[in-house]
Amino acid sequence: MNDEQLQKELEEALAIEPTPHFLARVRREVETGKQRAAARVKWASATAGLAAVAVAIGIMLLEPSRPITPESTTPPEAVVLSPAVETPTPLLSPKATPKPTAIHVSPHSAEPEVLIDEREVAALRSFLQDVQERKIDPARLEGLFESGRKRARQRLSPCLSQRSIPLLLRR
Amino acid sequence: MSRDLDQEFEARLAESSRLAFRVAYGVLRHREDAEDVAQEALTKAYRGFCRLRERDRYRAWLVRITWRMALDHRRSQKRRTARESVPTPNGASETATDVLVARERSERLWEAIDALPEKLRIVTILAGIEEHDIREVSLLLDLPEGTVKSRLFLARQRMKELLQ
Repeated sequence: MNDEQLQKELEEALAIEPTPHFLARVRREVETGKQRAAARVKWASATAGLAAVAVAIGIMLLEPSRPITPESTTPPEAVVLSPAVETPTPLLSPKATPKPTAIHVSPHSAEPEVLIDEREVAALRSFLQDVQERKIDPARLEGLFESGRKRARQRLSPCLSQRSIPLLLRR
Repeated sequence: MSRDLDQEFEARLAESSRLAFRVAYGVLRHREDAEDVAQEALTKAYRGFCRLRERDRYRAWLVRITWRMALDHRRSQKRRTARESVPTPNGASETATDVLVARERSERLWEAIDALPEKLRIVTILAGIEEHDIREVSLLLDLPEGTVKSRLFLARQRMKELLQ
């Protein structure tokens, strides 16, 4: 047997054709593989989403003291009074006296904040209420302020009103 | 996989399915098993096709996949599957004696192929498929043409010794 005869026999032995439906079977299998892969991707996405939700719930349950609402996470707001309330202009006209209003200013406000002690706020409110209820007479109060101012002027200039006594030295 | 890749694979599937089947058949010599293995290899090739950088190496890649899968299949099926006898050529003029002689000759040929070491066997089978020449076999096995030539020469020498 020479090489050519051997080659010919080999080719004959391997000249086998697959069945006619073989290619269709392969195509079907490939298509099934595609669908399986798509389903795997969907399941993987769903599983990842559920896992993320479960982790988030777990964290929330394990840390109950942690504030949940966004409001509680912001710094505490300061109670301030508007600068107009500080000047006692309403004392002259009780009817037009504006009520001291505590306004809530956001910590992020652009206006400068004026912080007043809570006790001062309470005292001022009480004073204004007394004026409104006529327990304090603003006219009399004005007289008291005026006399107070006079006394202060006298105290401040005692040397100008006194006469100087000359001192005599004897030898 | 994108539509373009799908179309490209579809085009290659049509021309490479027979190659995969014949490589599997060269190892298994059982039509149904060869089809199963070839189908599995082609499905695997489809899954990895998008990762294949050199698309012109697709046939070589498919041959390697199919060869390994067929060897694995043969090892796992060796005990319980009887190999298919080689189909006899159809012809009205052939007598029963001719058929028997042809079958015996084929069986001896396959025994000689099976007796070859793996390196020589794959070269012999690929050279016998679809009239592959030395260059084609060297491309499929990613070997120099000289190596393919020497292995083919050695394989034929041994087979001739066994067949005489």
